[in-house]
Amino acid sequence: MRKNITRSVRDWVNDNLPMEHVLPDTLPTFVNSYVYLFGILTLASFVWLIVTGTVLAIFGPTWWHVSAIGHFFNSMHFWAVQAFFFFMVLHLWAQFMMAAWRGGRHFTWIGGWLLFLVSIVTGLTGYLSQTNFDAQWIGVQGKDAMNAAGIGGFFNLLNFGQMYGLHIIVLPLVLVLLLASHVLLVRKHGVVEPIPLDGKEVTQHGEKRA
Amino acid sequence: MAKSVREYSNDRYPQMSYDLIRELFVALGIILILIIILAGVFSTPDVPALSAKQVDQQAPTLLVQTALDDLSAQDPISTYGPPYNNTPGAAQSIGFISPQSWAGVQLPLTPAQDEVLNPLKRILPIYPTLSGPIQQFESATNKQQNAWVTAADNALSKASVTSSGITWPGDPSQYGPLPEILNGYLSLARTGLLESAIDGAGSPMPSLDRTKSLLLLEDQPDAVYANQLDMTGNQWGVIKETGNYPGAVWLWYYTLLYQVPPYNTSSSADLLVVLTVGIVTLILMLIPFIPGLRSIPKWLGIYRLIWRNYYKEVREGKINV
Amino acid sequence: MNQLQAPISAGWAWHFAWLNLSAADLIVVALMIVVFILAIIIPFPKEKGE
Repeated sequence: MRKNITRSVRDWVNDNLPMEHVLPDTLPTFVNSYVYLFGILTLASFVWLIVTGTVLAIFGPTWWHVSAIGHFFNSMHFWAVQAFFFFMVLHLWAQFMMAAWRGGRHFTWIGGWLLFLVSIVTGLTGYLSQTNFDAQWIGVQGKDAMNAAGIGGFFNLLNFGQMYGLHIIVLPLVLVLLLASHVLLVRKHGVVEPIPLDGKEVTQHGEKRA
Repeated sequence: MAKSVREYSNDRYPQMSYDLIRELFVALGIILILIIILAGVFSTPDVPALSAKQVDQQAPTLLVQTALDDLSAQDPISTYGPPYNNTPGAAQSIGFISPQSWAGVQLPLTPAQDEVLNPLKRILPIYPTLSGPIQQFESATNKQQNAWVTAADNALSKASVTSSGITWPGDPSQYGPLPEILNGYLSLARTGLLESAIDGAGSPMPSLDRTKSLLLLEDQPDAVYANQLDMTGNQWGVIKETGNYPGAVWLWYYTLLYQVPPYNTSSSADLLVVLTVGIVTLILMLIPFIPGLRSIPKWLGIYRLIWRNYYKEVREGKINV
Repeated sequence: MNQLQAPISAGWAWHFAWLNLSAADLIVVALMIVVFILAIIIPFPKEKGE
């Protein structure tokens, strides 16, 4: 009999991502520090980036130059970017200090770095989408690095249409997908266990190992 | 064998009640209040882009200089190399590594034609007197063209330049057709249509690619304008925001490199910086697999502070995992 | 002559020449370090265990 792909996927999800783990109502008591809040604050900043960015996209890229409301939404978008990176970097520091890649969580760590890198490109394309001197100056200054890396002809900072399209749809979509996998990976493995003082790590299957 | 829910490693530890969704709502509230306050108090900077029209009005000599540089290929773009043109030795490289030349010319650009002569040709129907001078310039030998441009270059500081025209000193024949061409160029800039004439209009649809017109002012005019706004600083323009606003602070580890040797003196600085950052980032990403590096958190010991309550309870024997 | 003026004032910008970091950037970095240290030091309100 042929293998049923749908059933295999369902079994895998049920085994690896049961709802009790995806939406937990309990946490280990060692989760007891404000550093655990940086991740969710980054996520919240991202949600407001999408909301304010959607409003800016609906009214078009030059709206904020002529409308006070538009300028306010641009300001919220700008400060949400600052908050997003602020908390993301703190989250990164905290996860590093906890060596949070232990216990089979290396893909969560690598995925976090991918999120950081894609966020930087998204931020850059955002600067270039402002249709003001910032965009003009950052474009002509930044092009040299892109050209030196050999990607300037394909990722052309001076091509507004390309930068704008990347910024408002392609890169946010990539970020949403990466973020979803990052959060699901965190829930799949659970919160990282404290570094054992006796040197015996708890494996992902719950056994202790020297 | 599939892992059962029972083997979830978190379940080995004592649990407390928790509400993930409530925490998310609280975080959303905190950030919303934060960005509303910051947006209300600090707003955002918005300095209009620099236009050729503005350069024509405020610093016409700068625009004339830019056009002369383009016509004699003295501007940075004419000798930039890929992706704009093939200039031998212009591409950044480290040894045999040169992604810039591997990528080749993707956005072909000849500043003399694309930034100066072509836009003027586009307005010939409404400015027919330019046709003779442009023809004269284009049919002249390279040597003759350079002689005219050099003469104009040398005389520019003594010439009287206004936004509407230039009065050249001495014998006008030494400049060939340049006086007419440059007067036409200033006129085109004064209308505010120079950028559109450069990018060209193949169709009535919006021109979304502004590469050519943005490269016109990229050298001197943009730098002068940026300097007025305190935005210069070698390559720091990538990170610097207008006025007193925080810029892309998260890029510090990228932009910082431009300020220190060997990066700040290398002619392949961009490539060096890109490679360094690429390698460092790769190492950081792969920390979980690199012995030694992955133990740094244990040596630093900050984790003992983060989990201090847990370790206390373990020592007191309240928790036994 | 030969000076391009921004049509609106972007405001005075204080930056350190040796690093070319603006004061605003430094404030953000300092704030990050302070928030990180405080987040570690301040005791988290303990939930009632189950």
